[in-house]
Amino acid sequence: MSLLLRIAFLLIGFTLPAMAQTVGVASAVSGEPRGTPPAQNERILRVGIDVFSNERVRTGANDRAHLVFTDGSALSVGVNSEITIDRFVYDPSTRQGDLAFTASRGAFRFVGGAISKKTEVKVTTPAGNIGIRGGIVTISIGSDGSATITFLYGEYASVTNAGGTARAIRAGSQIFVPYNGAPFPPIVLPPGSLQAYLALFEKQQGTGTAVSPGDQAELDALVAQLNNVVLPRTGTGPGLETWLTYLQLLSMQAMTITNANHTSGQPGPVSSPPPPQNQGGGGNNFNGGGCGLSC
Amino acid sequence: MWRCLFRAAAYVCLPLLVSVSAQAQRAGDTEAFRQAFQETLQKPTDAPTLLRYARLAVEVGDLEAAVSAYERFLMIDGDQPRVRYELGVLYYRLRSYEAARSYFETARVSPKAGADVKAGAGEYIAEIDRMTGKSRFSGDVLVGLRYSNNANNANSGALRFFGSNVVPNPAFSQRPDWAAVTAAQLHHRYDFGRQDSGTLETDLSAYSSRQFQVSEANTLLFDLTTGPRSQPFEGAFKDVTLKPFVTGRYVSVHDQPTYWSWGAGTEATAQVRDWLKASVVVLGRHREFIDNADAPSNSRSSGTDAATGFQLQAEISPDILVTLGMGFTRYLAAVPSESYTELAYGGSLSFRFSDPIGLNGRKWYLTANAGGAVAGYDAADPTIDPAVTRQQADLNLGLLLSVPLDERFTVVGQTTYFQRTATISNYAFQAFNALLGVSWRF
Repeated sequence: MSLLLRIAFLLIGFTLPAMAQTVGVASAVSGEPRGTPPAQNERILRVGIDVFSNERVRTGANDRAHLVFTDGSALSVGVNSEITIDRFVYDPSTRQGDLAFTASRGAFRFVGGAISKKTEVKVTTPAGNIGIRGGIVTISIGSDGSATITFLYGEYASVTNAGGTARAIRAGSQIFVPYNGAPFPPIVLPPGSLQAYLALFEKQQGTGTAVSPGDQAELDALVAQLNNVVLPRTGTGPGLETWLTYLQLLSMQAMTITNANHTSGQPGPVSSPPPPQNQGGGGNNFNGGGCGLSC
Repeated sequence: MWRCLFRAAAYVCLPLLVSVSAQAQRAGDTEAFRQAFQETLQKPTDAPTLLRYARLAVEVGDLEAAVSAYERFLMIDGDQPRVRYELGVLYYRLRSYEAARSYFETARVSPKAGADVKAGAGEYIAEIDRMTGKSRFSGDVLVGLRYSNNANNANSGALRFFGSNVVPNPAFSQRPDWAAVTAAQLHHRYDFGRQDSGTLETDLSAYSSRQFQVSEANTLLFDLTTGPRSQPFEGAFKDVTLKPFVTGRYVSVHDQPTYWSWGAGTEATAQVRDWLKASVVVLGRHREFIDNADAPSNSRSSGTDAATGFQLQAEISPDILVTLGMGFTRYLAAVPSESYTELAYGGSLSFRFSDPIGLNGRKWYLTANAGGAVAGYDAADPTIDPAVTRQQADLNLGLLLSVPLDERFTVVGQTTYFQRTATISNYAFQAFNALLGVSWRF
């Protein structure tokens, strides 16, 4: 082989990885998930390693990976899974782009970034093609090729195959798609049924590579900072003010009728505001305290 | 009139300024958020960077980004109850209640969970239980004692009759009194299980005031509204809910039927931002006034109204809630002197703060509300004053403190001041009220 040819091969060898577009980074891993960029050998995905367009990611029985893309999208890859990043195009100036995956097996959680807020993210599975707008979705592919799509938040998640289309728009809904069968209509999951799906992406005790003591200490210290324990707006605080004030004003205005009649022989008006508005229900004083005649 | 309008503008503008200021702060945070994201790409192993990014994500309202950040912690170690708690809060704010419940439940049962996490998770789960499920009841009942310096809302000036001043009947002058007050609201929700979140909502409110001495001021009212709420749109309007409804009301004063009404309308709500909700109501209603011993010509006021209301509710911070609202009513009665046009406006500011006396560690609420209304009648009432057409303005101020005793019981203290000024003194009055009670939530 001539020297010139050797140099040419060397250049090609250096250039191919460089040509592959960096689309994100492995931001958290558990175990030893593997990634295979185009025209490169498979490598273990460590935290901080770049991932590329057309890269194939696969995990074993004790592996999980969390990938973050440059548009802010995030993909969690559960155990025994395989997925390929088919396409990633993103323009930060317009915050628009295009993102597509092929999921062959396993479990995945997608959290939408900038792209999914404006464009449908596409996921090809053996059972059908999934579209995601905005939002958070988990996908699990059964050993028989069926797919279960759990819609946690966002605009919609849809599944289309030769049998038809099913579309979930309500958080906490799930679509089941049998292999070679039409997608089932979405169902609203009963209470307590989501934990199994969420746990697919979490390191459980006794599995995977242990967190080193140093890492654990740092993690504990950071997590301790998290908890400002925001509480729900429960109790009878602001809600009480709303409906109690409303009822009091209604009562007061009703009484003015009688007063007017006693004093002048004429009834006073009693009218009413639009009825309750808040979904929590109850008499909602729509104008926040100015009830006027319209009580 | 101009004073009232100025006052109205002030009520509307002050909380609005607070909102605008908060919005400007958010805009500044957006750039910091984007920079923080770039840092996480460059330093994905740097947990403080990730934490800062998550916090900024929450501040700019990109809750999905915060979810993504926190979930990374669980991939490294799933038994992190504080992270789970934060994720639960985020999913709760995204109104993804089953996901939130899942995180709260696993946070609560973790052996590593602190007492604060367990208690907070328990409160959230209870709240989620209230809001989800196929068929569910919830409600509040309040019982208390109220003092009023003008229990019968008697007028404070001279009385006009056929255009002349008359001597008021002493029985109807201002009289202070105590009253036993009971207020209740009952809600039922039936979830159709559809993708549009269709739910049949039924709300019943009841209010009873039994005076100790001024029995003519005893009041009783029931208010019932029911209708299906759904989210019929997709895309940019996905968060818009629509609720057509029918409504009815019954009121008695001095233990005599005073009026009842029925009508129908539609309500629309929109989650404009994660922290900002808007709602609009349009309503048509007939009111049937009932002649009785105290008001023998009550039925002259029967008529029909058309009303619309608009409300904004802004969560300025996790502990500050601001509401602003306006309403417009056109009422056509049997006689022109009872027909009127009214503009009502108001707002409230609710603070939540830590238990200042170490009672039980639960947060207290202090809510201030201010509102007003201006109304103009169509014609003068010749039996009152043929030369003067009635116009009036209302001012309503309130302050409410609620102190939770446990998950269900709350001690409530409230003071209100109501003032009505009118071109005809017959209708002008003012009243100061103070209430102390206990509410039970179920």
